[in-house]
Amino acid sequence: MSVEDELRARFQQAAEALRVPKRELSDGFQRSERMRARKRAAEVLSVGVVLALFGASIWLLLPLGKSHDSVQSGGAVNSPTASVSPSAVSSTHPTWLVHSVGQGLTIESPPDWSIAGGGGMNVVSPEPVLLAGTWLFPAGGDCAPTAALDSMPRDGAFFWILEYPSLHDTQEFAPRPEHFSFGDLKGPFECVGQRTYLLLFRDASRLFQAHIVIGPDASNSVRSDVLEVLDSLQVDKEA
Amino acid sequence: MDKDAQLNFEQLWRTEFGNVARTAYLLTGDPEEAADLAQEAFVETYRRWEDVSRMDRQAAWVQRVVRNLAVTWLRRQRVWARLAARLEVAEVATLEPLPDPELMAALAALTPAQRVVLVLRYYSDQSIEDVADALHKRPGTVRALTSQGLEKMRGILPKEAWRDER
Repeated sequence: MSVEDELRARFQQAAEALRVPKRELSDGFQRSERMRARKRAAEVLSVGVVLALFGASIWLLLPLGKSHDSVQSGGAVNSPTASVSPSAVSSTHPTWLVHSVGQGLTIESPPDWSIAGGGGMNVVSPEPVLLAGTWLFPAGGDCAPTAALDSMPRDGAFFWILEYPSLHDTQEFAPRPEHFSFGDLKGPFECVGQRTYLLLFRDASRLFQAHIVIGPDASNSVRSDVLEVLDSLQVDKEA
Repeated sequence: MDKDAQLNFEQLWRTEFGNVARTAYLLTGDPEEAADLAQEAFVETYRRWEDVSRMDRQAAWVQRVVRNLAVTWLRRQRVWARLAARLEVAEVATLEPLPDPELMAALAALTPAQRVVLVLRYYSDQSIEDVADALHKRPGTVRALTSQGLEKMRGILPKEAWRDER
């Protein structure tokens, strides 16, 4: 037997004899998401270090006696959003991930979506509690997540959920339907600067408002994903 | 991703995961690492599924991804003695003997390029030209790597295993 034939035979036998360790596809997505999150965090950290060094060098170069206020009040930088790492695997979609965003809210999404808690907006009430987009969106905005909206790809989709205090008039908030639908475009809203699909609903005695923005080139599949992601929202009674 | 595309991807995962992991095993010599790399290759494939799903040979794409991942992994293992030690550790950890440890130890002594070329040539049964194309190397380089790899294998594996054809 030639070297080549012997190798062919032994490769084949070794491969066939291997008991392949079991793996779940969903675990792979989780692992990948964790690695991406770590990479993102490292990128944010390195950008922070560079900005800090830049700021320090400007501060040192400023003439003595001149106020430092002008440096500190420079233009705001939109930081990447503190996206939430997935905590589990969806029980209904093998490739979807479950995200707990705090405030008693859990939501499922395709693995390439980004999910974030409501921080990063300068609004107190109604309180932003969840942001979801088909791409890695930046945080920031006054009364709406305008940084995310400005960076939305034409084929993307984005929604954010606000929570009203329970003292609010509950008549406006219909009980949550079994399946969400878009309804009609509303607005344009002053904060958002464009029209959105607006949903008002009540779940677990809590009052929510969702704004949905769909990119002009978004596929039907993306639109359908948006509703399925919304349908997956789980609300605990106590935030 | 629409439902059909999702189902097609899951079908590919079910039918090809084992094959992809086996290729990764021959490249890395570590069953657990091979399974991880195969899993990673499928995640990468999923991210590009819109394009990959239109290909005639989707399994070949995943094999290509896992091969690249395995080469990267091999290159990270700078000290080849540690790789041989890892094989022994894996053998104990899995509580069952690895298939053909002699072959795997011999492969571990090759450079990543030699190892990939031998696995593609003699396990995946690819021609010199196909391997050259897959690895972005010239056919002459692949011939040289094959020859060097076989030479090393001859020196490591027992001589009675094959007829000396030099």
